[in-house]
Amino acid sequence: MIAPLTGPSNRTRLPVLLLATLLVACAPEAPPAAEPDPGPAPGTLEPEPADDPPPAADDPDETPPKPVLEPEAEPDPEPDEPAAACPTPPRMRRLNRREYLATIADLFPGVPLPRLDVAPDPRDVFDNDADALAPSALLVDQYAQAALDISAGIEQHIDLLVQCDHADPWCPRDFIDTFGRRIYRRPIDDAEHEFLLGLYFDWGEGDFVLGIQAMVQAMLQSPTFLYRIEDAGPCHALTPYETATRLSYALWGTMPDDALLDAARDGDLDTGPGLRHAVVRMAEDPRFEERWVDFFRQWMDLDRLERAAKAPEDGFDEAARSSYRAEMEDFARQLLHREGTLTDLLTSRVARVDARMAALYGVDPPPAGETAVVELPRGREGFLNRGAFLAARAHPFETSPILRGVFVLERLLCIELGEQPADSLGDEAPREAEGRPLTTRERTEAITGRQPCSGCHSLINPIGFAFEHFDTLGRTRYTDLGQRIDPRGHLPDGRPFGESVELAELLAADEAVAECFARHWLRYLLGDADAARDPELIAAATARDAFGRIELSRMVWSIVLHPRFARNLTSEADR
Amino acid sequence: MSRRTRRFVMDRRQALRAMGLAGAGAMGCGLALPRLAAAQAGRSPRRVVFVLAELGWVADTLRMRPPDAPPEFGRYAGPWFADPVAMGLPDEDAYTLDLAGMGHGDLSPALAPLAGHSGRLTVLDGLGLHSAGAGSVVDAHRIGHAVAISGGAGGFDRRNNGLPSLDQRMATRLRVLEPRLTDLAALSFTVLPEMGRFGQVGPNYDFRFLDNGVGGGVPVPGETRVDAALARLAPGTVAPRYGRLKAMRTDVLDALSFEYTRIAGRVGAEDRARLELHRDLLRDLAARDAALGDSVCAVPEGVGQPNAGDAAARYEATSRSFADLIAMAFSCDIARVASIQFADPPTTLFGAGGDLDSGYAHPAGPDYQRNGVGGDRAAAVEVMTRHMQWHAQQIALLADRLAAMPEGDGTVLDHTAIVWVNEMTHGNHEFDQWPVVMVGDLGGAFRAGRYIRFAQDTPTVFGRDRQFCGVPHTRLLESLWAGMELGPIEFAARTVPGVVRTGPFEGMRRDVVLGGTLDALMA
Repeated sequence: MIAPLTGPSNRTRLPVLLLATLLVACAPEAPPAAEPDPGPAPGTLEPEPADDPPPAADDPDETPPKPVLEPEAEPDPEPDEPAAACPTPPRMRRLNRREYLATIADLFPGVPLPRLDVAPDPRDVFDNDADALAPSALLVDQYAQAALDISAGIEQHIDLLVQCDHADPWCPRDFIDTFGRRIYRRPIDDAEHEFLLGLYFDWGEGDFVLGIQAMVQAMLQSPTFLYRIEDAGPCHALTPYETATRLSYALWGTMPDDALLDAARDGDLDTGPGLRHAVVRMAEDPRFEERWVDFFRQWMDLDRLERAAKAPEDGFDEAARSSYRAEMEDFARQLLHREGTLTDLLTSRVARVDARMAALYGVDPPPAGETAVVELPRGREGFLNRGAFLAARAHPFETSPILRGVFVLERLLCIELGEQPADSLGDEAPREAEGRPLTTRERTEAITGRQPCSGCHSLINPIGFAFEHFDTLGRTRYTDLGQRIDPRGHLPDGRPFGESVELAELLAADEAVAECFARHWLRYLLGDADAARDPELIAAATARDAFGRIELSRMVWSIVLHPRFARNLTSEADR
Repeated sequence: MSRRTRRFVMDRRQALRAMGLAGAGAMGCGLALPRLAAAQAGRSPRRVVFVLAELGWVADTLRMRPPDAPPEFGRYAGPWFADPVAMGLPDEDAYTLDLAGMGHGDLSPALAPLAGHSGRLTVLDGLGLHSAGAGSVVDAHRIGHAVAISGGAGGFDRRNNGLPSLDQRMATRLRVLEPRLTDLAALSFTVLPEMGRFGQVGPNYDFRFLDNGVGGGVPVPGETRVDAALARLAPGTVAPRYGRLKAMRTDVLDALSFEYTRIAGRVGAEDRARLELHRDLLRDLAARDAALGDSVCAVPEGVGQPNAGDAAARYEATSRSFADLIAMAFSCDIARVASIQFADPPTTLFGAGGDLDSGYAHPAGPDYQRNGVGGDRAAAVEVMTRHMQWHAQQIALLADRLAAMPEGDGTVLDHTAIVWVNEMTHGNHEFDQWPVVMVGDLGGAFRAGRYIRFAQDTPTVFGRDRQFCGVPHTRLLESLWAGMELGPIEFAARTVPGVVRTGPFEGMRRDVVLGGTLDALMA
């Protein structure tokens, strides 16, 4: 057992402490406020102690982690000046299904809401890519139905929504200002005020509630609500309210709360300290933890587990899928709470397992119905060598070096493989040769070894073969159809490895992996695949600390606190 | 079993006015609203239903034998289809069989459930999904989905497809010709299990695409809930619950379009197009509210959100309810085009367990002996045959419904074509030898009651074992368009480069013309 992980958890507190440490380091004017860092404990997600052990964060003689913040940026005096390189071009993003439902729930606290049908969104790695979130007739219909249902539902709970005296003639205007700021995520402008008030008077003359319902129906279908619109300009500095919205959907997946909107109103988000304060508060919120886990869920494509079919005798049922998924989601949480690094992601052997996963890994099972944090045997380093990754990328009756290799290339090395040649679809591999059955490796080589397949598969296969000593369920195996497993391979640049653990270690030290991982985080936080390539943001996110580590939570803070993300300020504007 | 109907006559005067009716008589089959446009034109409107199935066909139990084939090969093709050339059997020539009058035992097993409609049955055997040749994505399933009823290149990406799908193009054109029609002119349903193998069948594996305004298409998610579809088609069933709020909704929708226009002026071109699309969809919705009002369309008994039974029972009940809603919408002339996507049906529907794609569809492919179950291809063929039969049963049920509704001097089915397609030919992920099964002659536009095997003389785009295949499936799409009398249509690419893959003509390139109709089909 790994004692430090089974003791009282400092979950949530640690990442916040780390962030606080980071922020203090980044803000010279702020007093040192970080609590002593308990330091890495044996068995945690920290890397093994090096010859020169990492100093404690409270050691005044040691350099704290390298600041990731750019110098504080003052508000851009000419925010609409076009710049040569716009870091994250302002654009419009429809709320995706999850954002929409979360925002509705936040808008109407205490109001019993009906079940809302909203069509799921297309997904290409993540479910929030602006490009993919087009409107459809069904969605528009569903939004209208939801607006109708909600407006009907607030009738009996109008006092939860409207605090002013209904008889006060200014009350409708007050409602527009207060509720409007929340639903539009910024103050209502004059045109919107006029539009909404017009609806109120059309319907609310003599019936205050009906007038409110009309305005709520309209606001719930307004482009300003359904779309996050960052206004104008080829390279426009975000307004404070746009900053609040960008941060909120990035870190919480929902609308900004009143405190964040107040911070925007007061200009706090224009300053480095104010921005940091807001982000620290958001990091303490459980919604951030859920968002963090969701990133890994989507990046690892854990949903593949739900549709991964196995042989009937393998018993890969819902309970099994749940165990595989739970282990990986907990792994993601530990990366947050234990200051996990990129190296940990790829090489840690710490896992929380239930009886099923314990059996898979050959460790002592916890008591029935419980889970336990354990150190897995060698060979199970990092997420690539765990059940969830391996089972999700395997066929029912045989492994899939191709699926496994493609993941590593695309999601860890950001190598775009391009298109599968059309005339390669459906090719069939030989099942035997020279009187003996061919192994999966041999069959894969046979079917992909010729043109036009071999171009991409010369990259895919050597990586995918590294995992051949795991079967379709992720169990360790030593032979394939009676033949000895050959897990040797090489990276695209030719560096060889003996098997998957060596591969993971090579990846952990590879700058390209760090950059790729940061690009995925930026894409997720921004909701825009095309904009997730900003070199300055990537550089900030992949800066190693004094000990050569890349802490993953720090990567996120580096992005969201950066003026290029938080305010869309160009380098020139920064200066 | 006879099905009773009940009426929801909420505001007949308003509905009649909205539909442009002055004094309409009651329809047959207990349905309340006659089809005015048809009456004005002097004949019934034509309609198309696309049945969108997945994972391919099994030729062994679908294909009918050539008329001169040796009798020992049975009435349908039988196992020799897997490799007819190797067995010395002809496979290149066109042939036609008369299906009219064939009974359950005469048709191939896959087609047998349609025996009751054999006179209206048309099977097109051996088309090619040539437009998929310009595809740019890895997933053959996705290419097939994107191409099957769009005729576009399989270039689906996050942003759009190569072309809008035919159902959406038809609806757009119909609304130009008949402005009375609303955005419900095309219905899009998806029958979805609780958790599908593809997980996101709706959004990522979609057959249907709406014109994005710049020549491509954005995915059209299908309605998956019966109760929501019912509320949309028969708003009178839910209107009393909301009273004035329902009228408010139409007012709000009207007002909002100005908001969208105002905001659209402040964003970039791409975003502006999206907001304008959203605005147009809002206008459609408002127009529909005004047109339908409190619908007087009769709702067939038993239509509702299925909650009882296991996943398979609920899946099938959803399918049947959607069929009823299509019949209802046709009878009231709310819709002219409809589609049902059968996404990842539970394997238990076909008397099997496990995963349909890897467990049965792949092994049932002619030479796809993968995944260690290849030794029992016969078992896989049996399950996939039941898979086809189940789809045929759903089509037969819909055809029965339409045939039971008198219209003019015939029935609604007489003016309808039900078109059953698949995203690929079979478990090998092939796009040639593509079959289509149709019921109905689309108001006499087609010569139905025949099995049509197309000559295999068009260069293939996909496929490695054959030099040639049949004509492009886009000609079927154009035939359907022509049958609907919608004027000219063009596909984004007029030709695709066909390539002979093997044999003495290997490497020969010959452009394949996508346009034109299927002469063999047209009346």
